[in-house]
Amino acid sequence: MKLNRIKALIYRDFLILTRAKWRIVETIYFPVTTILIWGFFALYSETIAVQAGLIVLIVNIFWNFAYIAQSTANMQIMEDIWAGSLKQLFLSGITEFDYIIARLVTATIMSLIVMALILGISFFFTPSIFLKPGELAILTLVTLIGSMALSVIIASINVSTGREYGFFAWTVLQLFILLSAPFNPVELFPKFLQYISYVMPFTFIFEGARNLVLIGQIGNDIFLKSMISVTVYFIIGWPIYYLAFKRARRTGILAKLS
Amino acid sequence: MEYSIEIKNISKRFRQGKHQIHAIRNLSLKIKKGEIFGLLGPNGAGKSTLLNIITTIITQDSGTVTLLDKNHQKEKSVLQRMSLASGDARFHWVLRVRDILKFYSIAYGLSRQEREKRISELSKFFGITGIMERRFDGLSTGERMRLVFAKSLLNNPEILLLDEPTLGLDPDIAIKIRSEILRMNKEMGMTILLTSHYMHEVEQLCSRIAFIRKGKIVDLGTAVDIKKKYGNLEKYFVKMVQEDETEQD
Repeated sequence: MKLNRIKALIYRDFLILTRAKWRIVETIYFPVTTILIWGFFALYSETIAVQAGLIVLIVNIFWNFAYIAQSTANMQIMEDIWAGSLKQLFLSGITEFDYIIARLVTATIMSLIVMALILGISFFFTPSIFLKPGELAILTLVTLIGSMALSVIIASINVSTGREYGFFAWTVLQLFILLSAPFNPVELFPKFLQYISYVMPFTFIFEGARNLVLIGQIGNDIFLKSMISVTVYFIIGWPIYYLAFKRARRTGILAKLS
Repeated sequence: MEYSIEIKNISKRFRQGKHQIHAIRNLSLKIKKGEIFGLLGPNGAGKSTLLNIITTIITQDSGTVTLLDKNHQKEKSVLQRMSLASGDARFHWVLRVRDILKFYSIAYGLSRQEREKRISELSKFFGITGIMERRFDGLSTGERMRLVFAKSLLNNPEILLLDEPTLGLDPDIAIKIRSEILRMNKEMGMTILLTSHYMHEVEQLCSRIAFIRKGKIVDLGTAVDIKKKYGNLEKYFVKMVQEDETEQD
């Protein structure tokens, strides 16, 4: 690992992000509009069921944050594949580690900016969710780690499978969210889905978010479970990532990607 | 004799469905310091695979590659002393020429001062000062190739790999690029390994030539030696392609 290489990649990421207009739209437009939609719903639901509206809103905040954190990293990798520039990067001495670390740093910066924006908007709808800023920060941190872990795993899939399966970069998270029971307790799922749900990285994060609305705190056990879950994903992700690159070099996929 | 590149018993197979393709077969090659070496062969002969193995983009099944006396798999820092300029090199479409050169010079670890000096020198050397603010997707083929050359020299490489450097270029630009290759070799003293389809190109540029066919070197020598042997390079190349086609039939 060399800091100059990671710095160069991050510099390039921001050049691309600011010059490719559709990326700005994707990064900011969707989270902002989603929060506006559910924010108005939360306002309306105050008259019918205060907590339901708040739950929908807070889950959407973390859902969008997770999406931007994960997809920013993976879309940058796909752009390098689509542009045919991946080989040029690795020819310059940039290592697999430099490459993913730079992606994760850029994704963290971008997603935190978006998070600040959507939290700011949410404040106008439901100031009550800001009563526990420390708990919000903890959930943000755990969600970020979970999203980074998924980014590393999805990057491995993209490097191993090439252009044809590029859509994983922006679709996989949706499945993980769905299986993480975002708006309902896991117990509402059929038994077999419950087993799957408990090993999803976001299940306990969403449970913590719902708890924040329902009982005013995440709960120590939920925090611990969510932290363990995302840490396991994060640890598993790295060997998969290195193996994917090793395989891509062995099978010639890396040369074909470029 | 000092060698910049020593390739020893390299083999590489690729799986294609149920079949295995032998892309490189027990290939050995030594390239002297400061020489321009040409690698010629028909499509699918293994030229690009060999370059990809040298740059570690593809890993070989067996054999070793030594670059500047260092095993390229074990001492990866040696890769920073090498560069590859390929006719089909691509960069992100939204980046400008200046951005691309700046990004790679940061990645190579050049300080701000070194970076500005190097970019200014190279943009003058390759005549791209007028297109520094243009996006990559707005460049012509010739301009892209000159950018690829400039980028490949940012790290002041001791070894330069050129993969089909004039493929698809207009003849006038191809002539310029060839004279630039000779100039780089003379003025900067770098070792150049070049692959090409064009016989006259390798004749004009290379001190030695190797013919590669089905992953094996079938002949190696100076252009003059090979000409003596086969009449001319063009004829020999066409003969090789025809034989391959006959075997496939």
